[in-house]
Amino acid sequence: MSPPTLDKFLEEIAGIIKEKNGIQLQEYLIYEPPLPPLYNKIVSEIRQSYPPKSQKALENKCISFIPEYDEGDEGGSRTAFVMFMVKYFTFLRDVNIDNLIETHDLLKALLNQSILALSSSIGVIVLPTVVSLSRTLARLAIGLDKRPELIEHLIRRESVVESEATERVTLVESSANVIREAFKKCLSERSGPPSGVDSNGKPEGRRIGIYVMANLCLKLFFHCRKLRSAEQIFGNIYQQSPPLGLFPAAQRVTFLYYLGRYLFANNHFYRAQVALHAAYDQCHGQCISQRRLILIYLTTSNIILGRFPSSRLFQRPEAAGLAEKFLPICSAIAKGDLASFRKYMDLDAQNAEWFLRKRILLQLTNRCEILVWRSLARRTFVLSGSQGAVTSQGDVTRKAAPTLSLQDMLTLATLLEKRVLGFAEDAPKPNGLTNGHGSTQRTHTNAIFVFPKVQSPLPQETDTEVPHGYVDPDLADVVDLEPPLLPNMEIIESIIASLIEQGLLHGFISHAQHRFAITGVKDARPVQVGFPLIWEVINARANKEVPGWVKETKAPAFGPGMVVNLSGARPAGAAPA
Amino acid sequence: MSAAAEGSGPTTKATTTSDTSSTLKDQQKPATALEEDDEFEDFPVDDWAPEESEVPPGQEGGTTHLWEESWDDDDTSEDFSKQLKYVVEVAQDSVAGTLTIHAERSWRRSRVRNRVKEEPYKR
Repeated sequence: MSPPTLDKFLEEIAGIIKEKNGIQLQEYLIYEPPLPPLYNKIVSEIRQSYPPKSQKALENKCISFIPEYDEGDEGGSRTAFVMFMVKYFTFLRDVNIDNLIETHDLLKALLNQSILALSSSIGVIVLPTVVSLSRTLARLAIGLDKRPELIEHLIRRESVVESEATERVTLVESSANVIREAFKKCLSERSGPPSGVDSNGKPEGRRIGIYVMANLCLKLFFHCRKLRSAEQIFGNIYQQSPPLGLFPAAQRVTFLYYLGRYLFANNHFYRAQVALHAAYDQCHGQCISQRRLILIYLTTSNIILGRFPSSRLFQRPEAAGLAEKFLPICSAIAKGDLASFRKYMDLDAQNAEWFLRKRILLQLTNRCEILVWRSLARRTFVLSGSQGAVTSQGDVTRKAAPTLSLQDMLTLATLLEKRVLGFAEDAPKPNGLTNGHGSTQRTHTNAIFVFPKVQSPLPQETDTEVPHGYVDPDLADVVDLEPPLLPNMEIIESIIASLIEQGLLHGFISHAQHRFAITGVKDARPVQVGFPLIWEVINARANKEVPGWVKETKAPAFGPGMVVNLSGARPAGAAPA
Repeated sequence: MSAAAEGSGPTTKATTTSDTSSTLKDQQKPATALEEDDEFEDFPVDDWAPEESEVPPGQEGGTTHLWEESWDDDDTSEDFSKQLKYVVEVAQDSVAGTLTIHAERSWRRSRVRNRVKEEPYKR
């Protein structure tokens, strides 16, 4: 006897296909428990009539309702869709959600089959189902990844594979790779005009799924920290996608968030700021959790670019608790307080773990330090700089440029660095400008390869032990590359030179006099000319284009199927008409 | 015929998805609590009008009050600044002092050296 519920179900699916109703198809193909009673009935019918190893019979059953070829279609077969239906039924029959790993594998196989159906002639109808399956797979993969006790044997298996010099693919990444296939199918849609936009201004055909699929891939790639794979997604989109603006707000904001984070991770802070700013502006006002995440990276990028969050921003609900994290950094930068800055960004500091987990600690530490130095130079100028003067001797008027003493800056930097190193704070002695030694100071990575010269630093200690361990003869007499623990004049000059080079200071160094001179003052305040606003400097020279963000429809590139008009062509070398 | 078929409107569809997602979420709860909000959550709705995002898009100027570009601290009366000023002044004095002492010493040393050089001639 033919299973009545299954027959009825297949009949309705065939009807939906005829009507080309993708949303309804997705709503019919329920696969997540708890299943409605009718579906349980279907499952028991399949278990009874089509137990495992009766694949062919089930296939024929599906074909009897959904013919593989239909006159209504523009060529192409529905075989892939029929196979997907078969896979769907076997999924319902075999799935055991108590075993999440097995469920994950079954779901991945089902998604794979649905993606094959996506490229068939009725692909667009299958798209909502593919999106739904991808979402569930992504959620399941991330959920499993957070439960190491369940995937322990998989991790072990991966490490075996790794020893065979194959690239290690985690469970999350393998899911992402399947979803990426769906993304590629959406992106490579060729129907409609080359711009990919239909007459209603909507993305044509499968293109409608580009950003949904891309965002799911990005979520997984970011979760398993495969930014290289994320880069491919952005690259593909930048080349082939219709403008982002044509897609729904949720997709736009999610995409811009990931794009911003990717650019941030690659030290493109200005571009990251542009993308994150757009994401923040377009994000729904009530989606606090999303707004908060965007804001964390936007704030970090902006601080690095010399734009500080205002107290007004910190009053917003999504910024709760962020002021206490970011304000100390801003205050240390504004004051030029190198000591507070170093202490606050130390790995053992109170908020370091939070910064680390958000993956912004290194960027803040490395990129903001130069801003602190700029403020320290500015403060030195305000406290002890010479404001410049006009002197006239007879007919000759001489104008001395405003200058700051690098020696004074060195004094201050030394004082502040000593505070970090835990030196006793005493008034600087005449010889207090020489280098001291502390234990917490950072050293250059190269130091681990270089042995200090086998010689005691002080003559009276020559009898003490020579360091143990092998010393390569080539390195026997090398000089210790450990950087000076406290700044010296060379370091101060280098920092000032670097700031001038970056446009953050306006003037030049007099090496002979150890002074920094501000140029081009005229009638303005020297401090304003010599120390321009960081954001203004960076903003003025920044390239506003953000790779990965398609803002407008591009002129279609040359490619297969393009008609090239050569009526105006002339032989090479011929003069224009 | 099916439960899904009854709700073809978008609202019922939304509830279907959230129902099913909650079943999976229940299983993930202990782990997610640890990582708090590190993951960018899916939006509950797919699209919204620009007015629903607080700041209308395209008005870049509308958000600039949230960021301060001019934040230089010119207050020289607070403790940090006073301390630095004091230290610079003391250092300037001592450096000047050292230079005097240094110059004097090097002058004396050169006198001694010259004397040593001159001695053989005396003999």
